[in-house]
Amino acid sequence: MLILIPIIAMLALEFVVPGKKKVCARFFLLVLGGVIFVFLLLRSFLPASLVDPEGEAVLRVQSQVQYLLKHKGWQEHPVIILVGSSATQYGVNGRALEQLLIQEGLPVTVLQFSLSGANHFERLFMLRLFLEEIGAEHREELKKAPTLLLSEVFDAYDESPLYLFKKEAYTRRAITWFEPTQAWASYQAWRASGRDKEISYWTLWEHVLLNRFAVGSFSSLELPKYNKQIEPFFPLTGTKKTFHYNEVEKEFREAGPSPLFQQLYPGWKSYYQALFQEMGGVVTSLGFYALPTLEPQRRAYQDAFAASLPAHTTMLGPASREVMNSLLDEKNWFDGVHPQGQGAVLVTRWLAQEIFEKWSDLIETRWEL
Amino acid sequence: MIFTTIPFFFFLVIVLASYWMLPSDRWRHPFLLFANFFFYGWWDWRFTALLAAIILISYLAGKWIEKAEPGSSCRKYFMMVACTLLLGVLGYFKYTNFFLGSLRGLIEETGGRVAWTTLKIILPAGISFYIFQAISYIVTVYRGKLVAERSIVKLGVYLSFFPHLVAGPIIHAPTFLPQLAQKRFFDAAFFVEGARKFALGFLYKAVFADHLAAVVNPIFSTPSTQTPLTLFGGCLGFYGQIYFDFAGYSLMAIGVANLLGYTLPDNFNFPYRATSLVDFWHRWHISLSTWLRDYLYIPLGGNRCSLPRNYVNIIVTMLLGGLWHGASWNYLLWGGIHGVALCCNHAWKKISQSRPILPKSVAWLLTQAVVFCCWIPFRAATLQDTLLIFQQFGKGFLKLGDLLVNHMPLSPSKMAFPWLLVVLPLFFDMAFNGSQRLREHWRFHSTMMLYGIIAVALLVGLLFMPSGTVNFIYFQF
Repeated sequence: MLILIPIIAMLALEFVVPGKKKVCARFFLLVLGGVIFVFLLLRSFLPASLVDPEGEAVLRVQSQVQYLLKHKGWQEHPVIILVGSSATQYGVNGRALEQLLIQEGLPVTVLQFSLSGANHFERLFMLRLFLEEIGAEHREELKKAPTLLLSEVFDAYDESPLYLFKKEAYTRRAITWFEPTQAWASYQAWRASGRDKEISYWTLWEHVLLNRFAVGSFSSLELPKYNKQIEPFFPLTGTKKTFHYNEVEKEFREAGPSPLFQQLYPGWKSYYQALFQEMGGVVTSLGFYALPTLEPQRRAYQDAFAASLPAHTTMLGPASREVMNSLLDEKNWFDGVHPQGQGAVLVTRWLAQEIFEKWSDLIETRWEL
Repeated sequence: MIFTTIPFFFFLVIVLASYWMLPSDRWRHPFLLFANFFFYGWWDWRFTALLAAIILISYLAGKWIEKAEPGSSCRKYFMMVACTLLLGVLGYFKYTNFFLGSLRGLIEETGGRVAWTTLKIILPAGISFYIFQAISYIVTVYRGKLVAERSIVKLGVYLSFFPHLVAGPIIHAPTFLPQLAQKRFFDAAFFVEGARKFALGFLYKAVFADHLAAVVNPIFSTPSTQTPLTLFGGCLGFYGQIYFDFAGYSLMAIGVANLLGYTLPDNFNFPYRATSLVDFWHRWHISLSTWLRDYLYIPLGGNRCSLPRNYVNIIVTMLLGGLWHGASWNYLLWGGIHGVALCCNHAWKKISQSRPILPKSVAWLLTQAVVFCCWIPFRAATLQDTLLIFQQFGKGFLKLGDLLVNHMPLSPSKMAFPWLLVVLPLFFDMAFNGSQRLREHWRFHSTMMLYGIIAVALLVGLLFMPSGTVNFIYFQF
């Protein structure tokens, strides 16, 4: 019934007419500017969780905040924050990972911020929102816990920092995460990537304006449901129609040693810096993780990333040849990157093992730029 | 550049500020011409040459027609050549592929074979609108009702005036050109009125029409998989969408023109309140119906001829009006049904000797039912889709009979169509905004409140508009 609001506005525009007071254009523009200014001011105080309560990123963050705060005594153990894209969303079950680590004697709380198609800056947006949502007091507790941030390595997002942005542009999702603070960092990363011909500068700045004016916030014409939550792990079932497992497996087996990348895609550096600026005050240690993949080119990038790992960081993966061989079964894969069914269980177990084995490195390496 | 996008917002602010800061009309007219070309070139700069060519043809034709002796064959010749040239341009861009395709189909139907295929022709935005305006100028000069414009800049401003360049309203030369001759002063009341119209049009388009588009488009893209009830909902949705889309655009165009100090005539007058088809055409796309009347229906003989000839004139005018929208059998069908229905309306008027026989509500229902049915070929992608939808309606009607006889309840899933989204905005707009009596009775006078309402309405439009850009339906014409 929210449609009644624009209807009332429509009726008001017809039924209210100038009164005795002489019409003054300057005063009108002043009122117009004033209303816009007040709106923008109010907007700047509203967190994204209020402006777009049903946004995909927001729903995931809400679920993790609720999970953390319901977890009694979380302050007494380390907190692991996983941040990634579809590979994590479909491949890693955060809850199962937490249980596996506890079983191994590592009492931790795992928070998972994964969203399919989320580029570096949408992930940063989720992290920032998380810090906003938990409040200052809990932020301090996170620092003491300590907190480990594990960031997924995926070549497509490093190669093009605004990966999928063109496809998603002008959607509520893209408008929601494109906050002014994000804009500058993504602009720099996008320029550094050398792929700035793909999207116009104008489109980026346009999104900042769309974000500030909260365009389309009520476009569903339904009252938003606050505090709705979405779990960040989505198990996949079945195989993608266009995916031919046998061909991919053959290609994977035949692929020799990974062709080495001369250098990493430059896009990830700005993400790394932005990540430190945002999270450096809260997160004590940073690690990267590269999830198993059947695509040789992606694996090659993971190897290259591991070889040129930034100082004061730890790398989990890439999975060894033996691990990969144990995953070679059509039933485990939705496509070359995303596991399904039992595949996700195996990938989660593998990640738990990696964390357990490299725990001392992870916990002792203090993140510095 | 679409009116509901950020680039247009910046363009408008810059144009308005610069325009009113310029010292006189001597500077404003060239500036406005530049702004018009910039606006048109934003879509595809290559077609600015076409626009310039149309302006040049009109300018030269106007001058030569005026120079020729009144009543001479030379004068008529110049007018005919210019109009043929303009219609030729329109025909090339708009109808070439339609005729090639139809001819090909006809030949192949009779067992022949042809080697040609259709051409790759991009339809320039708004070509039908500015060519009709150019014809309006040339014919008016030919009729001696307007002096040929001396300044190509002024003529250019008229033909390319950006608020109505790509989707109308079609402005007749005698309405606009004299305004360019008058000295322009900034009128605050007029400026605020322009902002009010713009805000109202913005709500129509960005909120009501675009939300309906999101519901209607999927239904019309797969009509064969829809239930009769959903198809009915889709058609009802389009009935509302096309009104809010086009009336919204027209209001925004008129509003922008007001902001620049110009007056454009109203293009819509609550057409869904019409109680006869004649009344409907006095309220719907008024600028097109007036153009068709002045430059087609009257030259054909209008109603100053025998009754059968009068009816033929009406049908021919409506068929060509349909074809103006686009080269397709669907538009011809739309024009044809309207033409025949208008003839029936005139015949009924003659029989009843203009005394209302039917109650107003029945007349309204009948009129709107015809209008509703006519929108189906207008929106459907193909003639086959149109027939399919009517066929489904027939099936649905039979089922409805079943339903009434057997007292079967309607399942909630079949009622899931957002009926209120269609009905509520239309109802409030037609019943309240469209009622002169209510507007006068409930009018609230407050200048300050009006300022605030305009600002808030614009923000409401932003908050409620679906993200993403939906084109104006009439851009394609």
